[in-house]
This record gives sequence, structure tokens and C-alpha cells, in this order.
Amino acid sequence: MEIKSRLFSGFLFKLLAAGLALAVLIPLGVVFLRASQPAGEAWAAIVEYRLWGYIWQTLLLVSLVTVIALAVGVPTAWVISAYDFRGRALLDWLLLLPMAMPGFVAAAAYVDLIGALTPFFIWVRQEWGIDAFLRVQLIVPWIFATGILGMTLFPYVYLSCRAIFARQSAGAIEAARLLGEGGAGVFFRVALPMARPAIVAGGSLVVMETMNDYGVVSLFGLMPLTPGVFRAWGEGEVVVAMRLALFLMIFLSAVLVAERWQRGRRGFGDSNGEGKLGRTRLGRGKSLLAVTFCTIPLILGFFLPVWRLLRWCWDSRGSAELAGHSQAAWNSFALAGGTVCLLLCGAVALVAVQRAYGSRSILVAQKICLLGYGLPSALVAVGVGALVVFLAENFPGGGMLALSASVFGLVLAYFVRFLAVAIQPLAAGYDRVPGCLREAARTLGSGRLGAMWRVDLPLVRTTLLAGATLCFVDIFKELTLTLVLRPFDFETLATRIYRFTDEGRVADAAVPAMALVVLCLIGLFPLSTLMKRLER
Amino acid sequence: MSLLEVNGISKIYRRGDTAALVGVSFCLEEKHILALVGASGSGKTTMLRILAGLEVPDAGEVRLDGRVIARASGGVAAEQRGIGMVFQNHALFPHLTVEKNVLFGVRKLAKPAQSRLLAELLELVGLPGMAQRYPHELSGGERQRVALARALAPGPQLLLLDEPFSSLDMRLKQSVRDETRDILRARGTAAVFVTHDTEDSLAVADRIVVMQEGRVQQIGAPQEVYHAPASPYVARFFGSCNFLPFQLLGSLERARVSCRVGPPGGASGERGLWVRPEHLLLEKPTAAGGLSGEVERVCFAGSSQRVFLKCAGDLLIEVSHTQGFPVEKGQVWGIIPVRRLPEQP
Repeated sequence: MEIKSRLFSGFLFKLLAAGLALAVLIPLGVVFLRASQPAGEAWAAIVEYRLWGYIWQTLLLVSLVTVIALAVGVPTAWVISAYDFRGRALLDWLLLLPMAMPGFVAAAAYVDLIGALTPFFIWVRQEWGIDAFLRVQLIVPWIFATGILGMTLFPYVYLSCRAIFARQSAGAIEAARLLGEGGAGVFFRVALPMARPAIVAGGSLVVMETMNDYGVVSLFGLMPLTPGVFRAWGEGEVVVAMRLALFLMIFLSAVLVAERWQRGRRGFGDSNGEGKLGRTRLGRGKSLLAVTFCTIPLILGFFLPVWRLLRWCWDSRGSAELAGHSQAAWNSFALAGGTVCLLLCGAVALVAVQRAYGSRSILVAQKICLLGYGLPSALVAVGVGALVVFLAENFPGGGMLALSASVFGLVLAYFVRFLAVAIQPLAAGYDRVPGCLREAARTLGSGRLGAMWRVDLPLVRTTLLAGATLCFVDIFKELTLTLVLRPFDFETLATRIYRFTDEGRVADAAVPAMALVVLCLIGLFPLSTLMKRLER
Repeated sequence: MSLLEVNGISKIYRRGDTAALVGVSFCLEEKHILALVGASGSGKTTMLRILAGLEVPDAGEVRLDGRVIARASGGVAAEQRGIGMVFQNHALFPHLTVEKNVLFGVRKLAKPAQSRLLAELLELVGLPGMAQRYPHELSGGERQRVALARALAPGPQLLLLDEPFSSLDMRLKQSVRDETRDILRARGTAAVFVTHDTEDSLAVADRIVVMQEGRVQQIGAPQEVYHAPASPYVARFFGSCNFLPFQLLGSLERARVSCRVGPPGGASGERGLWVRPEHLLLEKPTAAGGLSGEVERVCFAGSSQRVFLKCAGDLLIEVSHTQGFPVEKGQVWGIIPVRRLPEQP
């Protein structure tokens, strides 16, 4: 009898896991379904006039941003890991700050600078003629957009390389030094090749974030695929939007497959307790150089936008927008808080219960749910959007239902997109809890769930909380999904910042923008402690 | 009826279909200690985990006190078996104090009974006054003792120990080992412990089950397994052992042979003697043509010298030399067996 009840509870959990996996697959399914419907002339027109532009803009944007992020992230990680100089410890932490600067917030702080460049444009016009003028007008927004994305996204590369430089390749780097290789030689001949997996991992995160960005590119008037999807969606061309979203998905899948592939081939880079890298002490001149090198991206990616925003905050004190701000902030809090509770339950059901039962089928469900993070935001948005429209049309029940349907859609979209963010820290936390503790609890009379409750969950409490904070901040600053799926007249802080910036009222956007940055800064603490814990 | 009966347990791991256990059977009497000995990969840990209920066998059954607790179709859940376990790295819960660790399995007991039990167990393992410490504040030996107290707290019928001494250093190991045996004897708890260290098994166990590649090679008392190995594998596993084929021993006086004729050994399954190095002596080579060899290597091993001699037919024989006279490389010595093992009193 005891076996029967155990099997039954196991079955229920498998059912739950299957439901979660299904939820994650829903947007993809909807997109496939709708994309296969006939689109008629609209699609032909898109293919003829816009598709090529979307594709080359996407490719150019992604490659430029990735190059910038790598060029900044890898050397800064090396300098911080391999050398010792005054301010190193502080910079080590400060270099994470740009992560707290959502791209569209930085864009809000920079977008008016294009206006400030007018004398330069006039000068070009007078000196070089109309062609040069037009070309410069085209290029300058690209410089801003790629620069902003690169400067706010490089910490992904910095973080992954930092971990590998500091720990994984310490032994080899020290061996190279003892073999008489100097600083640059060690970097190019040993550290860089060994850090390749980390570089690719960090770089692919940058690629994903860039492809999913809507705020920065649309504020600067660029038209890669993501805004393209929303443009078609806004024009009512649902099938076209779905097909464009699939294009985006193909791009992203290619990147993720490449990342997986190189990770699978990695036969090196894993540490076996080689110990920490000893840092070389730098002289005064070189220290200054190192500090300058690390500070420039920091200023561009964080301090300059923050300074400009703060100044506008001061200017806009007593503005009439405060009531609207606080309503939007409340909306953001409620949405993020509610979704995080759901995400935590989902993560526990997929990770903790999976470990408790050792179930392979739940593990499969967990892997499927991890895929959600690899789905393009635009695809999730239009997939869930189409679902919501379908529900509203087929189950009509008045305006109230339409509102709750779109709130449901918004929560579902966040859930799909960020479930992986909740799962991964928890799974990493679990990897550090030896399985024998669970077994010990069971030989002492605890059931599977009892052992999970009394032993596992208390031990992974910190990583669980860290994951929750990350999810909270991610949802709070999510713009792309919210813009498409929010109910009518419903604003979060993120959409409000975007709307004001888009309307040219950057000063009014400053207060919510600063609020968002402060909140993201709070989110950095669990991230950095999580990194430290995982590094040990 | 034995306390624990293991009948024909088999276990196959799905990956690559390698058999972890093939038809393993043994039994254990009440209050006895049994050692499962084998090299890594011999299946001894899998066997222990099947006993604990952490794995399910593919065939066979396990009975505890007459009740079937494990069989291919499931059996009793680990938490309901009433079997305690001491894990290899002790598996103390890092977030709980010694007190909470020890009392983890007796939550349902009344509070006063709990505190009495705690005091008794900490006294037994020699850690009174440590109740409020956390595991990371304890030394290796102390952790091992807490793990033992925790496993004993629910009063299990059978205690399982997975390599319980392997994480301790040499000096500590011997004292903890003897203590553990005394505690088990004092409580009258039957125990099965897994080890790859033959010395541990010889010192602690009442019976030894030697395993190799998932099969039982021999079951017996420690003396039996050491002095009368059932196979060449067992002979070599419990320390160095020389195989002397009969054809080389033609002129060796049978009357002087003190050790038993062992199982077939050597490459072609020829018969001969299995003799441990401490059962051989060196003497002046005799003209009569006894077994002799040239010293190839001498290793100092503290109380003895390990002398390796090359005999006819490329046979390398190890002699544990304790007689004191100097032996050097290149010398030729005769090899004779110890005249007679002392009779049992």
C-alpha cells in the first residue's frame, strides 16, 4: 500500500511537470500553427521590400554589439584577474554595474545627444556635401545603439571570463609564467584559448540579449527583426509577424546550437582545485593605464547615464507625473511579485521534486522549460498575444475578461521566458548538495518529500532566494514582452520610461528610470553572491 | 533463521548493460558484523545500497528478520526498513547542530525521551557536551562518531556502514575502527560494512564476503579468508601472496610445507602452493637443490624487509625477512617455508 501511494504522488508530480513543459511550449506551438496559415500578398510584400533589410540589420547589429562586448569584456576580465593594482577590488565589483542599466534606460539618457550633434552634422554638410551628410545621419544612430548595447551587455562576457581566468586556468597560467612567458604572451597563448568556452558562453548571452532588444533599437530608429515582428503585429499582419518571429528563432537557435556544440567539444577549462591565480603587482604607470582601461566602459555604460538621469530627476522635481509613476511602479511590483511566486513553485516542482524522486521524465520536462530562455522575446510575445486574442474571441465575457485575459497572457509570457532564470540557480544549488544527505535522511525515516523539506530546501535556500531576486529584477525591467501584451492603458515602469523617451520627454522618464536602476542594483547583490558561492 | 538473508541478488545498470551484481547471496546472524570487501567496481557499494533501499535489485530478494524488504518489484521503502546507515563522508546535515543531526530520525519521540536518548548516545560515542556544535566545527573522527550516533538513534535492527573509515587518516583510523567495533558489540547491533581496505575487514568483521566484478568470491571468517583463500584473486587481494607451482617444488620437502595447497593459479591453471611472504624464510642455499633465487630488490618496511628473489623460470618470490641478518641485492639465497604454524591452543 505504501508503494502505491508513493507511486501516485510521483505520478501527480510528473503530471505537473508535463503541464509546465507544455506551458513553455505553447507560444512556440501557436506561432508554428499561425505561421503555416496562408498570408497572401502581405507576406510577398514583406519578402520583397523589408525582409532583406531586417536580416542584414539583425546580422550587423548582433556582430557589432558582440565585437564591442568581447573587446571590452575579455581584456577587463584579464586585467582584473591577472594583475594587482590600487582599486582593483573595487573595480572588480564596479564592472558589474552596467548590468543594472537596462539598455532602454541608457538609451533614454543618450538619445538627446543626437540632437546635440546637430552642429557636427551641419559641418559635415558644409564640408563634405549632401551624400556624406546623409551617410553620417545613417551611421550615427548605429554607433549610439551598438555602443549602448555593447557597454551595457559586456558584463556578461566579463563575468564568465572572470570566473575562468581567476580559477580554472590558474595552474596553466602560472606554469606559462614559470616557463618565461610575459604578460601579453600569457594572455594570447594560454589564457585566451583556455577561456574560449567562457568567451563563447558570455558572447552568446550578449547575442541573445541584442536580438531580443526592442527599446534601444527602436529609440534610435534601427529596424532589425524584433521591431520588424512588432511592426507587422501592430499592422494587424499576424501571420507575417509569426513568420518573422520564426526567422528570429532560427537565428537564435543557430547561436545556441553553436554554443552547445563548442561546449560539448570542450575538453579543458574544468578545474580540479588548482587554486587561485597569483596576481602580478603593477607599477604606478601601468596601474593608471589599467584603471583607465577598466573605467572607460564603466563611465559610458553606467556612470554617465546615471549622472544625466540624476540631473533630470532634480530638474523634474515637483512634476505632475508622480502619481502616474507610483501607479506604474505598483503595477510593476504586483506583476513581478506574483509571477516570481509562480516561478518559484515551478522551479521547486521541476528541480527539487525531480531530485527527490530521481525521475527522468521530470528531468526531461525541466530541460524543455530551460528552452524557454532561448525563445526570442518577440516570438513569446506574439505567440502568447495570439493565444490571448483567441481566448478573448472565443470565450467572450465582456471587458473584465479581456483585461484578465491579457494579464494572464503577460504572466504566462514572463513565466515562459524566465522559468529558466529560476531553475538554473536552484539546480546549481542542488548540484552542491551531496545526494548522500538526502539518502541519509531517508535511512533515518524521512519520506522523499520529507527529506526535500527538511534537508534539501534549507540547504539551497540562498540560491533559491537569489534566483527569485534575479527573476524579480528581470521581469521588472522587461520591456519587449510588456509593450506587446499589457492590457490597454496599463503601464509598468519600463513601458512608461519607453513611452516618455519615445515622445521626447526624457526628463519625465528620468525618475522612473532611476527607480528602475536602483532596483536592478539591488538585484546585483544576489547575483554577485551567487557567483562567489558557485566559484568556491 | 538468520537476521539478514540475501538470496541471488542481481543488478544490471542500463548504460552499457554492465552487470553490477550477479547472483549475490549471503546471510548475517544477529549481533554479528559482516564485511563486504572488494576493489572499486566490485559491486559492494551497490549491494549495500540495495540493502538500504536506495536501489532496487533486478532479481533476487533480501529478507530482514524473515520479512522480504527488497525484490525486483520494489519492496519496503528505505524510510520504512528500520535499517540505519553511516555514509562514506558521514553525510552530516551541515545546517543542523549535532543534537538535531542525532535526533533527526526520532522526531516522533517525546521531548524528554529525546534528550535522554541524545545524552546516552553522545556518552556512548564519547562526545558529551558537543550537542550544540555544527558539523563544520568537528574533526574528522568526531564527525564519524556523530554519524554513528545518528544512525543508531532510531534503534535499527541492522546498521550499514559505507567505507566508514576511508576519510580518516591512518593514525585516527585504527582507534576509530576499534571504537566503532566496541560500540556495535556493546549495543548488540548487527552491521554490514563495505570497505576496500582488507585490514579493516580483518580487524572488525566476524565474517567477510569477498566480491569481484559483482560476484561473491568467498565467504568466511577472517582467518579462513586470509589463510585459505578460495581463489588466486582472494589470495592476492588480502596482501602479497606467492604462487609456487608444484613442478618447481619437486625437491622441496613436503613435510616442511606448512601452508595449504591453494586453488589453481598461474597462467595455465596449474596447481601449486599459495604462500604468504611471512611464511617463508631465507637460508643458505643447499646443495640438495631446494628452491633458491637471486635477490633482485630489497625494500625496508619497518618491522621487516621485503626481499624479492628471482627463481628459476622467471618466478619472482617475495619473502618478508625478519631474521635480522643482512640481505643484499645480487646474493643467492635458499627459500624455505616456516616450519610449522603454531597449533591452536
